[in-house]
Amino acid sequence: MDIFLSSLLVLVFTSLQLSVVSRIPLNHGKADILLLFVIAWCLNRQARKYYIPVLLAGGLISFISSLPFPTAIISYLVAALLTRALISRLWEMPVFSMLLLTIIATFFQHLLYIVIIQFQGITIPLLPSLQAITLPSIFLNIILAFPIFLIVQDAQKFVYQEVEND
Amino acid sequence: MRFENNRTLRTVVISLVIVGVILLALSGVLRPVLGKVMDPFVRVQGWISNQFMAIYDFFTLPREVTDLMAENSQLRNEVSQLQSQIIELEEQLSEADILYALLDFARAKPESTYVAASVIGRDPNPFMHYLIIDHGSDDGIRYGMPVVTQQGLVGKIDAVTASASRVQLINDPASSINVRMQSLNVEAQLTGTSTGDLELTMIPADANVQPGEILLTSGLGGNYPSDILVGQVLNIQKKENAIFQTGVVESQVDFSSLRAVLVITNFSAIDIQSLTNE
Repeated sequence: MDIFLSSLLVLVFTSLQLSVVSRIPLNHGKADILLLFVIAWCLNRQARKYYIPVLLAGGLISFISSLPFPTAIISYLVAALLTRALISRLWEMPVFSMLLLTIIATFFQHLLYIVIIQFQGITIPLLPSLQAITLPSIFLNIILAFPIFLIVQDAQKFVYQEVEND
Repeated sequence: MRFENNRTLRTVVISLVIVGVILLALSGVLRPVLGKVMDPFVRVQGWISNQFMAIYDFFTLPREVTDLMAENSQLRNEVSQLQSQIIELEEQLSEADILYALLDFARAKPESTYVAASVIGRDPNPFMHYLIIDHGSDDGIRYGMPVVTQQGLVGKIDAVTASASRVQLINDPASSINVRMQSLNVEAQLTGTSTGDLELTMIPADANVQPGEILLTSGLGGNYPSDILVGQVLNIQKKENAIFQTGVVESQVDFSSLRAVLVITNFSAIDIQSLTNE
């Protein structure tokens, strides 16, 4: 059930990302609601098969995006592993963990993108890109982190309560 | 017999009195008297009527308020439906305007064949500038085909599936286009940046390029057909001892609000990669 629901959420968020969120830039930055979904989903200790929605989200974005194939998968997988690694070391209030992980994961994701793009032979000036793209993206992600966290938490309550009842 | 005569006389007298009273009433002589007699009766009747109406209203008015509220709600629903219809029609009108403009552009250049497509998404990666359109190989779209609007060059097809395609915009950092200046016999190269600006490079140092200069595709390299409007020079930077000048270009196309584009389907990009590698 959790795999089905998480896959469904991945599809919905991918559609929203491409058609809505990517069209609302702040300066030159864009929010990544799939990254937020990955973090929010992995924050729940009961989500043991977290890698399935993570791979699905990464695969879908890799297929759609112009970046080389495994880039999105790597960035989402790293965000998921980071979340799982820090889950027991961070505060008990998951919403704060969500915000902190959003900042770290977005920063890492953009760094990874810049490195991959440089390897493709395209020059990306680091500091202007961080100022014009990464910082606004982090800001947008922080704004969207809270609603995404609530949606995912509600969905997980529904799934894992059902599992407990069984 | 006497008894019967008395009864007849009484009946006649009573009848005469009644007829007399009626005649007096009709002639208006009894009006003041009638007024005084009827006045208390009318007041009592009015009071009873008022009480009755109050009781009647008590039972019937709430029902009318409910009816009015239901009607009001229905009318509000109708208004909101009509408003959404207006928005939908305005949207259709706006789409029709875009399509008419694209049609005008296509008619003005009949040598090319076009496929019109709607923009259905954007690349989620903020460093790259790509669009996703709702037409693919099933509609005759192939890799490398140029994409335009009535305002100028948009980009080229970068990846194709059966029903959708990805378009690399001219302001993508990986995009590089050979352009020529309309009024000068000078060629240059237009490249995109991660922030979506357009940079003009490889302008010969001796070229006298002025802001406002119109840029068209030169057709060199075989990636784009020639003479498609690309943009306008905003400013030029000329450094001492530099071999080339650089500049900033403004495209007439608003890449952030693109909704429909035309794909030129009778142009095949020439892949010169193999030539340059060997």
